[in-house]
Amino acid sequence: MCILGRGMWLHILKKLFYVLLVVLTTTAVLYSVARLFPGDPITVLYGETAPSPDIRKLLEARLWLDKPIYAQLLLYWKRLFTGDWGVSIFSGEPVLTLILRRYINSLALALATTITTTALCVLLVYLSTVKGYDKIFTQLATVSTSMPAVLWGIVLMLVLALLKMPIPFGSIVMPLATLTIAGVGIFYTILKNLIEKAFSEPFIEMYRAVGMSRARLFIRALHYAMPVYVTAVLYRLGLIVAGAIATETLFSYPGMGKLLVDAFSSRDYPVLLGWSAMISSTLALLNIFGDLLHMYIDPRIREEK
Amino acid sequence: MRGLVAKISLGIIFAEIFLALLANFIAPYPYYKVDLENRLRPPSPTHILGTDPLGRDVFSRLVYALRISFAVAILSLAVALLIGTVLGMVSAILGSVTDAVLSWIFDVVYAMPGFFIAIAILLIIGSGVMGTAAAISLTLTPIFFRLSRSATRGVLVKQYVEVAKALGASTLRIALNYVGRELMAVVIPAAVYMLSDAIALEATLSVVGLGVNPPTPSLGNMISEYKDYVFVAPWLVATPIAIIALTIASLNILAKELDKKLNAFLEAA
Repeated sequence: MCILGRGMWLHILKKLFYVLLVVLTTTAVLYSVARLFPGDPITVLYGETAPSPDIRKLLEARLWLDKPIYAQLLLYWKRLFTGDWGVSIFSGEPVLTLILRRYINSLALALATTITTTALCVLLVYLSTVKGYDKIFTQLATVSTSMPAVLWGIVLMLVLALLKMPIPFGSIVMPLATLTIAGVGIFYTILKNLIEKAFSEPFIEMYRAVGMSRARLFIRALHYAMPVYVTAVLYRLGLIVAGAIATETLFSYPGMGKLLVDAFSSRDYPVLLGWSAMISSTLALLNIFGDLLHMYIDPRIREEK
Repeated sequence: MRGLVAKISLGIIFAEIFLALLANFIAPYPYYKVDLENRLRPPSPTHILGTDPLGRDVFSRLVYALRISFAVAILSLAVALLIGTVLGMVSAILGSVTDAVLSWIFDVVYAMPGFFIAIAILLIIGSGVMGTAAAISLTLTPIFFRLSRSATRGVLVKQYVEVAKALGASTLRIALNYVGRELMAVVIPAAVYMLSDAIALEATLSVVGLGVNPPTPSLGNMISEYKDYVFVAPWLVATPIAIIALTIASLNILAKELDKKLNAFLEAA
Protein backbone atom coordinates (compact mmCIF):
# COMPACT_ATOMS: atom_id res chain seq x y z
CA MET A 1 0.00 0.00 0.00
CA CYS A 2 2.42 2.61 -1.14
CA ILE A 3 -0.39 5.11 -1.61
CA LEU A 4 -0.49 5.53 2.13
CA GLY A 5 1.83 8.17 3.46
CA ARG A 6 3.13 8.29 7.01
CA GLY A 7 0.38 10.66 8.05
CA MET A 8 -2.20 8.20 6.84
CA TRP A 9 -0.77 5.35 8.86
CA LEU A 10 -0.90 7.56 11.92
CA HIS A 11 -4.49 8.39 11.08
CA ILE A 12 -5.40 4.70 10.86
CA LEU A 13 -3.54 3.92 14.07
CA LYS A 14 -5.44 6.67 15.83
CA LYS A 15 -8.71 5.29 14.54
CA LEU A 16 -7.80 1.76 15.62
CA PHE A 17 -7.09 3.09 19.08
CA TYR A 18 -10.51 4.70 18.97
CA VAL A 19 -12.07 1.31 18.05
CA LEU A 20 -10.43 -0.23 21.09
CA LEU A 21 -11.72 2.56 23.29
CA VAL A 22 -15.25 2.20 21.99
CA VAL A 23 -15.25 -1.56 22.53
CA LEU A 24 -13.93 -1.18 26.06
CA THR A 25 -16.45 1.50 27.04
CA THR A 26 -19.48 -0.20 25.53
CA THR A 27 -18.68 -3.54 27.14
CA ALA A 28 -17.95 -1.79 30.45
CA VAL A 29 -21.25 0.10 30.41
CA LEU A 30 -23.17 -2.96 29.34
CA TYR A 31 -21.48 -5.18 31.89
CA SER A 32 -22.40 -2.84 34.72
CA VAL A 33 -25.95 -2.49 33.40
CA ALA A 34 -26.28 -6.25 33.04
CA ARG A 35 -25.19 -6.75 36.64
CA LEU A 36 -27.70 -4.14 37.79
CA PHE A 37 -30.60 -5.82 36.02
CA PRO A 38 -33.31 -6.95 38.34
CA GLY A 39 -33.01 -10.73 38.61
CA ASP A 40 -29.70 -12.58 38.83
CA PRO A 41 -28.54 -14.91 36.06
CA ILE A 42 -28.65 -18.00 38.25
CA THR A 43 -32.33 -17.51 39.01
CA VAL A 44 -32.95 -17.00 35.30
CA LEU A 45 -31.08 -20.23 34.61
CA TYR A 46 -32.80 -22.44 37.17
CA GLY A 47 -36.10 -20.67 37.67
CA GLU A 48 -37.51 -19.97 41.09
CA THR A 49 -36.56 -23.41 42.41
CA ALA A 50 -33.23 -22.31 43.81
CA PRO A 51 -30.37 -24.80 43.60
CA SER A 52 -28.69 -25.87 46.84
CA PRO A 53 -26.32 -23.29 48.34
CA ASP A 54 -23.25 -25.34 47.39
CA ILE A 55 -24.19 -25.56 43.73
CA ARG A 56 -25.14 -21.91 43.76
CA LYS A 57 -21.71 -21.05 45.09
CA LEU A 58 -20.06 -23.17 42.41
CA LEU A 59 -22.09 -21.51 39.67
CA GLU A 60 -21.39 -18.07 41.05
CA ALA A 61 -17.68 -18.83 41.00
CA ARG A 62 -17.92 -20.04 37.42
CA LEU A 63 -19.66 -16.87 36.32
CA TRP A 64 -17.35 -14.80 38.57
CA LEU A 65 -20.36 -13.50 40.44
CA ASP A 66 -18.43 -13.87 43.70
CA LYS A 67 -15.96 -11.15 42.71
CA PRO A 68 -16.46 -7.38 42.82
CA ILE A 69 -17.78 -5.89 39.62
CA TYR A 70 -14.54 -4.20 38.46
CA ALA A 71 -12.65 -7.47 38.86
CA GLN A 72 -15.29 -9.23 36.80
CA LEU A 73 -14.92 -6.58 34.15
CA LEU A 74 -11.13 -6.85 34.02
CA LEU A 75 -11.37 -10.63 33.76
CA TYR A 76 -13.89 -10.23 31.00
CA TRP A 77 -11.68 -7.84 29.04
CA LYS A 78 -8.78 -10.25 29.36
CA ARG A 79 -10.88 -13.06 27.93
CA LEU A 80 -12.30 -10.84 25.22
CA PHE A 81 -8.85 -10.48 23.71
CA THR A 82 -7.86 -14.11 24.10
CA GLY A 83 -10.88 -15.22 22.09
CA ASP A 84 -12.67 -16.95 24.96
CA TRP A 85 -15.98 -15.09 25.12
CA GLY A 86 -17.62 -17.44 27.60
CA VAL A 87 -20.66 -19.60 27.01
CA SER A 88 -24.27 -18.62 26.48
CA ILE A 89 -26.18 -18.95 29.73
CA PHE A 90 -29.22 -20.01 27.78
CA SER A 91 -27.92 -22.62 25.34
CA GLY A 92 -24.48 -23.46 26.72
CA GLU A 93 -22.93 -22.81 23.30
CA PRO A 94 -19.63 -20.87 23.20
CA VAL A 95 -20.54 -17.22 22.61
CA LEU A 96 -17.92 -16.64 19.95
CA THR A 97 -19.13 -19.43 17.65
CA LEU A 98 -22.76 -18.47 18.26
CA ILE A 99 -22.07 -14.86 17.38
CA LEU A 100 -19.92 -15.66 14.35
CA ARG A 101 -22.66 -17.83 12.90
CA ARG A 102 -25.24 -15.08 13.30
CA TYR A 103 -22.76 -12.46 12.17
CA ILE A 104 -22.22 -14.17 8.84
CA ASN A 105 -25.97 -14.29 8.26
CA SER A 106 -26.29 -10.59 9.00
CA LEU A 107 -23.31 -9.77 6.84
CA ALA A 108 -24.87 -11.70 3.96
CA LEU A 109 -28.11 -9.79 4.44
CA ALA A 110 -26.31 -6.45 4.61
CA LEU A 111 -24.21 -7.10 1.51
CA ALA A 112 -27.14 -8.42 -0.49
CA THR A 113 -29.22 -5.40 0.51
CA THR A 114 -26.44 -3.01 -0.42
CA ILE A 115 -26.08 -4.60 -3.83
CA THR A 116 -29.80 -4.66 -4.65
CA THR A 117 -30.40 -1.17 -3.30
CA THR A 118 -27.46 0.35 -5.14
CA ALA A 119 -28.27 -1.41 -8.42
CA LEU A 120 -31.88 -0.29 -8.20
CA CYS A 121 -30.92 3.27 -7.27
CA VAL A 122 -28.44 3.67 -10.10
CA LEU A 123 -31.04 2.36 -12.53
CA LEU A 124 -33.77 4.65 -11.19
CA VAL A 125 -31.53 7.71 -11.12
CA TYR A 126 -30.41 6.91 -14.65
CA LEU A 127 -34.02 6.73 -15.77
CA SER A 128 -34.93 9.92 -13.97
CA THR A 129 -32.01 12.13 -14.96
CA VAL A 130 -31.31 10.80 -18.45
CA LYS A 131 -34.71 9.55 -19.55
CA GLY A 132 -36.75 12.12 -17.63
CA TYR A 133 -38.99 10.04 -15.34
CA ASP A 134 -38.18 12.39 -12.51
CA LYS A 135 -41.59 13.28 -11.04
CA ILE A 136 -42.93 9.79 -10.49
CA PHE A 137 -39.74 8.44 -8.90
CA THR A 138 -39.52 11.36 -6.51
CA GLN A 139 -43.08 10.63 -5.37
CA LEU A 140 -42.25 6.94 -4.98
CA ALA A 141 -39.17 7.83 -2.95
CA THR A 142 -41.35 9.87 -0.59
CA VAL A 143 -43.66 6.89 -0.20
CA SER A 144 -40.73 4.57 0.49
CA THR A 145 -39.37 6.81 3.25
CA SER A 146 -42.73 7.39 4.88
CA MET A 147 -42.60 4.14 6.83
CA PRO A 148 -40.00 2.46 9.02
CA ALA A 149 -38.47 -0.63 7.39
CA VAL A 150 -40.27 -3.16 9.53
CA LEU A 151 -43.68 -1.83 8.51
CA TRP A 152 -42.73 -2.38 4.89
CA GLY A 153 -42.11 -5.96 5.97
CA ILE A 154 -45.66 -6.19 7.23
CA VAL A 155 -46.96 -4.61 4.02
CA LEU A 156 -45.08 -7.32 2.10
CA MET A 157 -46.68 -9.96 4.32
CA LEU A 158 -50.04 -8.39 3.54
CA VAL A 159 -49.37 -8.49 -0.18
CA LEU A 160 -48.29 -12.14 -0.05
CA ALA A 161 -51.39 -12.94 2.00
CA LEU A 162 -53.67 -11.28 -0.57
CA LEU A 163 -51.92 -13.23 -3.33
CA LYS A 164 -52.52 -16.38 -1.25
CA MET A 165 -48.79 -17.12 -1.23
CA PRO A 166 -46.93 -18.64 1.74
CA ILE A 167 -44.58 -16.35 3.65
CA PRO A 168 -41.03 -17.75 3.69
CA PHE A 169 -40.03 -17.28 7.32
CA GLY A 170 -36.40 -17.81 8.25
CA SER A 171 -35.05 -17.24 4.73
CA ILE A 172 -33.16 -14.21 3.49
CA VAL A 173 -35.78 -13.30 0.88
CA MET A 174 -38.23 -11.36 3.02
CA PRO A 175 -35.77 -9.26 5.04
CA LEU A 176 -33.84 -8.57 1.84
CA ALA A 177 -36.95 -7.35 0.03
CA THR A 178 -38.05 -5.31 3.04
CA LEU A 179 -34.73 -3.57 3.57
CA THR A 180 -34.38 -2.90 -0.15
CA ILE A 181 -37.78 -1.22 -0.38
CA ALA A 182 -37.08 0.88 2.70
CA GLY A 183 -33.55 1.74 1.52
CA VAL A 184 -34.26 2.66 -2.09
CA GLY A 185 -36.20 5.79 -1.11
CA ILE A 186 -33.33 7.20 0.93
CA PHE A 187 -30.57 6.33 -1.49
CA TYR A 188 -32.48 7.39 -4.56
CA THR A 189 -32.81 10.87 -3.06
CA ILE A 190 -29.15 10.99 -2.03
CA LEU A 191 -27.84 9.77 -5.37
CA LYS A 192 -30.16 11.95 -7.42
CA ASN A 193 -29.11 15.09 -5.59
CA LEU A 194 -25.46 14.17 -6.04
CA ILE A 195 -25.87 13.47 -9.74
CA GLU A 196 -27.79 16.70 -10.26
CA LYS A 197 -25.03 18.58 -8.50
CA ALA A 198 -22.48 16.86 -10.73
CA PHE A 199 -24.43 17.86 -13.81
CA SER A 200 -24.08 21.50 -12.86
CA GLU A 201 -20.28 21.22 -12.55
CA PRO A 202 -18.11 22.74 -15.30
CA PHE A 203 -16.36 19.46 -16.16
CA ILE A 204 -19.66 17.90 -17.19
CA GLU A 205 -20.46 21.00 -19.24
CA MET A 206 -17.12 20.49 -20.96
CA TYR A 207 -17.88 16.84 -21.76
CA ARG A 208 -21.27 17.91 -23.04
CA ALA A 209 -19.67 20.52 -25.27
CA VAL A 210 -17.33 17.84 -26.62
CA GLY A 211 -20.45 15.97 -27.67
CA MET A 212 -20.61 13.10 -25.22
CA SER A 213 -23.96 11.30 -25.05
CA ARG A 214 -26.16 11.74 -21.99
CA ALA A 215 -25.61 8.14 -20.98
CA ARG A 216 -21.81 8.58 -21.01
CA LEU A 217 -22.19 11.87 -19.15
CA PHE A 218 -24.19 9.98 -16.54
CA ILE A 219 -21.30 7.59 -15.97
CA ARG A 220 -18.90 10.52 -15.46
CA ALA A 221 -21.34 12.10 -13.03
CA LEU A 222 -21.70 8.79 -11.21
CA HIS A 223 -17.95 8.59 -10.73
CA TYR A 224 -18.01 12.10 -9.31
CA ALA A 225 -20.88 11.22 -6.96
CA MET A 226 -19.41 7.93 -5.72
CA PRO A 227 -17.37 9.03 -2.65
CA VAL A 228 -20.31 10.64 -0.85
CA TYR A 229 -22.67 7.87 -1.87
CA VAL A 230 -20.27 5.20 -0.62
CA THR A 231 -20.03 6.90 2.79
CA ALA A 232 -23.81 6.85 3.12
CA VAL A 233 -23.98 3.22 2.02
CA LEU A 234 -21.26 2.09 4.43
CA TYR A 235 -23.02 3.78 7.31
CA ARG A 236 -26.21 1.94 6.51
CA LEU A 237 -24.34 -1.33 5.96
CA GLY A 238 -23.15 -1.08 9.55
CA LEU A 239 -26.63 -0.43 10.77
CA ILE A 240 -27.95 -3.49 8.97
CA VAL A 241 -25.23 -5.72 10.42
CA ALA A 242 -25.99 -4.24 13.82
CA GLY A 243 -29.49 -5.20 13.42
CA ALA A 244 -32.13 -4.80 11.09
CA ILE A 245 -33.31 -5.83 14.54
CA ALA A 246 -37.04 -5.57 14.05
CA THR A 247 -37.03 -6.81 10.46
CA GLU A 248 -34.97 -9.88 11.32
CA THR A 249 -37.20 -10.64 14.28
CA LEU A 250 -40.36 -10.22 12.21
CA PHE A 251 -39.25 -12.83 9.68
CA SER A 252 -37.28 -14.98 12.18
CA TYR A 253 -34.10 -14.49 10.17
CA PRO A 254 -31.21 -15.80 12.30
CA GLY A 255 -28.98 -12.72 12.21
CA MET A 256 -27.43 -10.42 14.80
CA GLY A 257 -30.67 -8.49 15.25
CA LYS A 258 -32.70 -11.47 16.28
CA LEU A 259 -29.81 -12.65 18.45
CA LEU A 260 -29.95 -9.37 20.36
CA VAL A 261 -33.69 -9.61 20.98
CA ASP A 262 -33.41 -13.25 22.08
CA ALA A 263 -30.42 -12.56 24.32
CA PHE A 264 -32.21 -9.67 25.95
CA SER A 265 -35.39 -11.58 26.63
CA SER A 266 -33.47 -14.45 28.24
CA ARG A 267 -31.07 -12.08 30.08
CA ASP A 268 -28.18 -13.93 28.41
CA TYR A 269 -25.51 -11.41 29.26
CA PRO A 270 -22.39 -13.20 27.95
CA VAL A 271 -24.09 -13.11 24.56
CA LEU A 272 -25.13 -9.49 25.05
CA LEU A 273 -21.59 -8.46 25.86
CA GLY A 274 -20.20 -10.39 22.92
CA TRP A 275 -22.82 -8.78 20.72
CA SER A 276 -21.92 -5.26 21.74
CA ALA A 277 -18.17 -5.90 21.41
CA MET A 278 -18.67 -7.33 17.94
CA ILE A 279 -21.02 -4.61 16.76
CA SER A 280 -19.15 -1.63 18.15
CA SER A 281 -15.91 -2.85 16.59
CA THR A 282 -17.67 -3.54 13.28
CA LEU A 283 -19.13 -0.05 13.14
CA ALA A 284 -15.79 1.53 13.95
CA LEU A 285 -13.87 -0.66 11.48
CA LEU A 286 -16.36 0.14 8.73
CA ASN A 287 -15.60 3.78 9.45
CA ILE A 288 -11.88 3.15 8.84
CA PHE A 289 -12.67 1.09 5.76
CA GLY A 290 -14.76 4.00 4.50
CA ASP A 291 -11.78 6.33 4.82
CA LEU A 292 -9.53 3.97 2.87
CA LEU A 293 -12.14 3.44 0.19
CA HIS A 294 -12.54 7.18 -0.11
CA MET A 295 -8.86 7.56 -0.79
CA TYR A 296 -8.99 4.84 -3.37
CA ILE A 297 -11.89 6.47 -5.20
CA ASP A 298 -10.85 10.08 -4.79
CA PRO A 299 -7.12 10.72 -5.34
CA ARG A 300 -7.39 14.28 -4.02
CA ILE A 301 -7.86 13.03 -0.46
CA ARG A 302 -4.69 10.92 -0.74
CA GLU A 303 -2.66 14.04 -1.39
CA GLU A 304 -4.19 16.01 1.45
CA LYS A 305 -3.32 13.48 4.12
CA MET B 1 -49.63 22.69 -5.61
CA ARG B 2 -46.97 22.55 -2.88
CA GLY B 3 -49.09 24.78 -0.70
CA LEU B 4 -52.09 22.51 -1.15
CA VAL B 5 -50.11 19.40 -0.19
CA ALA B 6 -48.84 21.15 2.92
CA LYS B 7 -52.38 22.24 3.83
CA ILE B 8 -53.70 18.72 3.42
CA SER B 9 -50.86 17.41 5.61
CA LEU B 10 -51.68 19.97 8.26
CA GLY B 11 -55.33 18.95 8.02
CA ILE B 12 -54.45 15.29 8.52
CA ILE B 13 -52.33 15.99 11.58
CA PHE B 14 -54.98 18.25 13.11
CA ALA B 15 -57.69 15.67 12.43
CA GLU B 16 -55.57 13.01 14.15
CA ILE B 17 -54.89 15.21 17.14
CA PHE B 18 -58.60 16.05 17.32
CA LEU B 19 -59.50 12.33 17.30
CA ALA B 20 -56.83 11.62 19.89
CA LEU B 21 -57.96 14.37 22.26
CA LEU B 22 -61.65 13.52 22.04
CA ALA B 23 -61.11 9.74 21.96
CA ASN B 24 -63.55 9.06 24.79
CA PHE B 25 -66.36 10.93 23.03
CA ILE B 26 -65.68 9.65 19.53
CA ALA B 27 -65.02 5.98 20.16
CA PRO B 28 -68.37 4.15 19.86
CA TYR B 29 -67.22 1.32 22.17
CA PRO B 30 -64.71 1.08 25.01
CA TYR B 31 -61.37 -0.02 23.53
CA TYR B 32 -61.19 -3.02 25.87
CA LYS B 33 -64.73 -4.32 25.37
CA VAL B 34 -64.41 -7.99 24.34
CA ASP B 35 -67.23 -9.56 22.33
CA LEU B 36 -66.25 -13.12 21.53
CA GLU B 37 -69.35 -13.80 19.46
CA ASN B 38 -68.41 -11.11 16.93
CA ARG B 39 -64.76 -11.89 16.27
CA LEU B 40 -62.86 -10.88 13.13
CA ARG B 41 -65.90 -9.26 11.49
CA PRO B 42 -65.16 -7.27 8.33
CA PRO B 43 -66.10 -3.56 8.28
CA SER B 44 -69.83 -2.99 8.65
CA PRO B 45 -72.17 -0.15 9.79
CA THR B 46 -72.02 -1.28 13.45
CA HIS B 47 -68.22 -1.65 13.41
CA ILE B 48 -66.91 0.69 10.73
CA LEU B 49 -63.44 -0.86 10.71
CA GLY B 50 -64.54 -4.34 11.73
CA THR B 51 -63.64 -6.23 14.89
CA ASP B 52 -60.41 -7.85 16.02
CA PRO B 53 -59.64 -11.44 17.14
CA LEU B 54 -61.18 -10.71 20.55
CA GLY B 55 -64.23 -9.01 19.07
CA ARG B 56 -63.07 -5.54 20.08
CA ASP B 57 -64.11 -2.64 17.86
CA VAL B 58 -61.09 -1.70 15.72
CA PHE B 59 -62.16 1.91 15.16
CA SER B 60 -62.46 2.56 18.90
CA ARG B 61 -59.07 0.99 19.50
CA LEU B 62 -57.58 3.04 16.70
CA VAL B 63 -58.84 6.32 18.15
CA TYR B 64 -57.34 5.48 21.54
CA ALA B 65 -54.17 4.21 19.86
CA LEU B 66 -53.77 7.62 18.24
CA ARG B 67 -54.01 9.19 21.69
CA ILE B 68 -51.41 6.85 23.21
CA SER B 69 -49.02 6.99 20.25
CA PHE B 70 -49.14 10.76 20.01
CA ALA B 71 -48.76 11.11 23.77
CA VAL B 72 -45.69 8.86 23.78
CA ALA B 73 -44.20 10.59 20.75
CA ILE B 74 -44.80 14.13 22.01
CA LEU B 75 -43.64 13.37 25.54
CA SER B 76 -40.42 11.72 24.40
CA LEU B 77 -39.83 14.46 21.86
CA ALA B 78 -40.31 17.21 24.45
CA VAL B 79 -37.84 15.62 26.84
CA ALA B 80 -35.27 14.99 24.10
CA LEU B 81 -35.68 18.50 22.74
CA LEU B 82 -35.28 20.17 26.11
CA ILE B 83 -32.27 18.14 27.27
CA GLY B 84 -30.57 17.94 23.88
CA THR B 85 -30.99 21.58 22.94
CA VAL B 86 -30.02 23.03 26.31
CA LEU B 87 -26.98 20.79 26.67
CA GLY B 88 -25.92 21.53 23.09
CA MET B 89 -26.17 25.25 23.72
CA VAL B 90 -24.30 25.02 27.03
CA SER B 91 -21.65 22.85 25.40
CA ALA B 92 -21.06 25.32 22.58
CA ILE B 93 -21.09 28.42 24.79
CA LEU B 94 -18.86 27.11 27.59
CA GLY B 95 -16.49 25.23 25.29
CA SER B 96 -13.26 23.62 26.60
CA VAL B 97 -13.68 20.67 28.97
CA THR B 98 -17.47 20.81 29.23
CA ASP B 99 -17.76 20.73 25.46
CA ALA B 100 -15.28 17.89 25.09
CA VAL B 101 -16.95 15.71 27.72
CA LEU B 102 -20.52 16.32 26.54
CA SER B 103 -19.62 15.81 22.89
CA TRP B 104 -17.82 12.60 23.71
CA ILE B 105 -20.77 11.21 25.67
CA PHE B 106 -23.25 12.03 22.94
CA ASP B 107 -20.91 10.72 20.25
CA VAL B 108 -20.74 7.37 21.99
CA VAL B 109 -24.52 7.23 22.35
CA TYR B 110 -24.96 8.33 18.74
CA ALA B 111 -22.48 5.75 17.47
CA MET B 112 -24.55 2.87 18.79
CA PRO B 113 -27.47 1.81 16.65
CA GLY B 114 -30.42 3.82 17.98
CA PHE B 115 -32.59 0.82 18.35
CA PHE B 116 -30.08 -0.92 20.57
CA ILE B 117 -30.16 1.92 23.07
CA ALA B 118 -33.93 1.87 23.04
CA ILE B 119 -33.98 -1.85 23.82
CA ALA B 120 -31.42 -1.47 26.61
CA ILE B 121 -33.48 1.26 28.26
CA LEU B 122 -36.68 -0.74 27.96
CA LEU B 123 -35.06 -3.67 29.69
CA ILE B 124 -33.88 -1.54 32.57
CA ILE B 125 -37.04 0.50 33.05
CA GLY B 126 -39.45 -2.11 31.78
CA SER B 127 -41.77 -1.66 28.83
CA GLY B 128 -44.95 0.35 29.07
CA VAL B 129 -45.85 3.92 28.23
CA MET B 130 -43.16 5.58 30.38
CA GLY B 131 -40.44 3.09 29.45
CA THR B 132 -41.18 3.51 25.75
CA ALA B 133 -41.13 7.29 26.03
CA ALA B 134 -37.80 7.19 27.89
CA ALA B 135 -36.29 4.84 25.33
CA ILE B 136 -37.39 6.97 22.40
CA SER B 137 -36.26 10.21 23.97
CA LEU B 138 -32.77 8.88 24.70
CA THR B 139 -32.34 7.87 21.07
CA LEU B 140 -33.43 11.31 19.90
CA THR B 141 -31.47 13.42 22.40
CA PRO B 142 -28.04 13.15 20.68
CA ILE B 143 -29.54 14.45 17.44
CA PHE B 144 -30.87 17.59 19.14
CA PHE B 145 -27.58 17.96 20.97
CA ARG B 146 -25.61 17.95 17.73
CA LEU B 147 -28.02 20.27 15.94
CA SER B 148 -28.10 22.77 18.75
CA ARG B 149 -24.35 22.65 19.36
CA SER B 150 -23.44 23.31 15.75
CA ALA B 151 -26.13 25.99 15.32
CA THR B 152 -24.97 27.76 18.47
CA ARG B 153 -21.37 27.70 17.33
CA GLY B 154 -22.52 29.19 14.05
CA VAL B 155 -24.27 32.04 15.82
CA LEU B 156 -21.46 32.76 18.26
CA VAL B 157 -19.01 33.71 15.52
CA LYS B 158 -21.43 36.16 13.88
CA GLN B 159 -20.51 39.78 14.00
CA TYR B 160 -23.52 41.10 15.86
CA VAL B 161 -22.76 38.69 18.69
CA GLU B 162 -19.20 39.99 18.79
CA VAL B 163 -20.59 43.50 18.99
CA ALA B 164 -23.00 42.53 21.76
CA LYS B 165 -20.11 40.99 23.67
CA ALA B 166 -18.03 44.11 23.21
CA LEU B 167 -20.94 46.17 24.52
CA GLY B 168 -20.89 44.02 27.66
CA ALA B 169 -23.83 41.67 27.15
CA SER B 170 -23.74 38.77 29.61
CA THR B 171 -23.40 35.17 28.41
CA LEU B 172 -26.94 34.44 29.57
CA ARG B 173 -28.30 37.38 27.60
CA ILE B 174 -26.47 36.29 24.47
CA ALA B 175 -27.71 32.73 24.94
CA LEU B 176 -31.34 33.75 25.34
CA ASN B 177 -31.59 36.65 22.92
CA TYR B 178 -29.34 35.81 20.03
CA VAL B 179 -28.67 32.10 20.12
CA GLY B 180 -32.17 31.14 21.21
CA ARG B 181 -33.76 32.99 18.32
CA GLU B 182 -31.70 31.38 15.59
CA LEU B 183 -31.82 28.03 17.29
CA MET B 184 -35.60 28.00 16.89
CA ALA B 185 -35.32 28.06 13.11
CA VAL B 186 -33.16 24.93 13.29
CA VAL B 187 -34.80 23.06 16.13
CA ILE B 188 -38.52 23.50 15.35
CA PRO B 189 -38.51 21.91 11.88
CA ALA B 190 -36.18 19.21 13.21
CA ALA B 191 -38.65 18.56 16.02
CA VAL B 192 -41.45 18.01 13.52
CA TYR B 193 -39.24 15.55 11.63
CA MET B 194 -38.33 13.84 14.88
CA LEU B 195 -42.00 13.52 15.81
CA SER B 196 -42.38 11.23 12.82
CA ASP B 197 -39.24 9.36 13.90
CA ALA B 198 -40.70 8.92 17.36
CA ILE B 199 -43.92 7.48 15.94
CA ALA B 200 -41.93 5.16 13.67
CA LEU B 201 -39.73 4.05 16.58
CA GLU B 202 -42.73 3.24 18.75
CA ALA B 203 -44.16 1.08 15.97
CA THR B 204 -40.83 -0.67 15.42
CA LEU B 205 -40.38 -1.38 19.12
CA SER B 206 -43.86 -2.85 19.30
CA VAL B 207 -43.22 -5.28 16.46
CA VAL B 208 -40.32 -6.76 18.44
CA GLY B 209 -42.66 -7.14 21.40
CA LEU B 210 -41.36 -4.20 23.42
CA GLY B 211 -43.07 -0.83 23.58
CA VAL B 212 -46.51 -0.06 24.98
CA ASN B 213 -48.03 -3.18 26.57
CA PRO B 214 -51.37 -4.53 25.38
CA PRO B 215 -54.29 -4.28 26.13
CA THR B 216 -53.57 -0.51 26.03
CA PRO B 217 -53.74 0.14 22.29
CA SER B 218 -51.01 2.01 20.42
CA LEU B 219 -50.56 2.21 16.66
CA GLY B 220 -47.48 0.00 16.98
CA ASN B 221 -48.91 -2.73 19.16
CA MET B 222 -52.10 -2.88 17.10
CA ILE B 223 -49.93 -3.63 14.09
CA SER B 224 -47.90 -6.18 15.98
CA GLU B 225 -51.04 -7.88 17.37
CA TYR B 226 -52.89 -7.96 14.06
CA LYS B 227 -49.99 -8.94 11.81
CA ASP B 228 -50.58 -12.59 12.67
CA TYR B 229 -54.00 -12.40 11.04
CA VAL B 230 -52.93 -11.24 7.57
CA PHE B 231 -54.37 -14.36 6.00
CA VAL B 232 -57.69 -14.28 7.84
CA ALA B 233 -58.41 -10.59 8.21
CA PRO B 234 -55.99 -8.44 6.19
CA TRP B 235 -57.95 -5.22 6.85
CA LEU B 236 -57.04 -5.40 10.53
CA VAL B 237 -53.37 -4.61 10.06
CA ALA B 238 -53.85 -2.47 6.97
CA THR B 239 -55.63 0.38 8.81
CA PRO B 240 -53.00 1.19 11.47
CA ILE B 241 -50.22 0.85 8.88
CA ALA B 242 -51.98 3.27 6.55
CA ILE B 243 -52.42 5.72 9.41
CA ILE B 244 -48.76 5.56 10.40
CA ALA B 245 -47.64 6.05 6.79
CA LEU B 246 -50.00 8.99 6.37
CA THR B 247 -48.86 10.56 9.63
CA ILE B 248 -45.16 10.23 8.89
CA ALA B 249 -45.53 11.52 5.33
CA SER B 250 -47.61 14.50 6.53
CA LEU B 251 -45.14 15.36 9.28
CA ASN B 252 -42.22 15.22 6.85
CA ILE B 253 -43.98 17.50 4.37
CA LEU B 254 -44.89 19.92 7.18
CA ALA B 255 -41.32 19.95 8.48
CA LYS B 256 -39.98 20.84 5.04
CA GLU B 257 -42.53 23.62 4.66
CA LEU B 258 -41.88 24.95 8.16
CA ASP B 259 -38.14 24.93 7.50
CA LYS B 260 -38.64 27.11 4.43
CA LYS B 261 -41.08 29.50 6.11
CA LEU B 262 -38.97 29.99 9.22
CA ASN B 263 -35.80 30.62 7.27
CA ALA B 264 -37.57 33.12 5.04
CA PHE B 265 -38.97 34.83 8.15
CA LEU B 266 -35.58 35.02 9.80
CA GLU B 267 -33.93 36.42 6.72
CA ALA B 268 -36.64 39.07 6.40
CA ALA B 269 -36.38 40.08 10.07
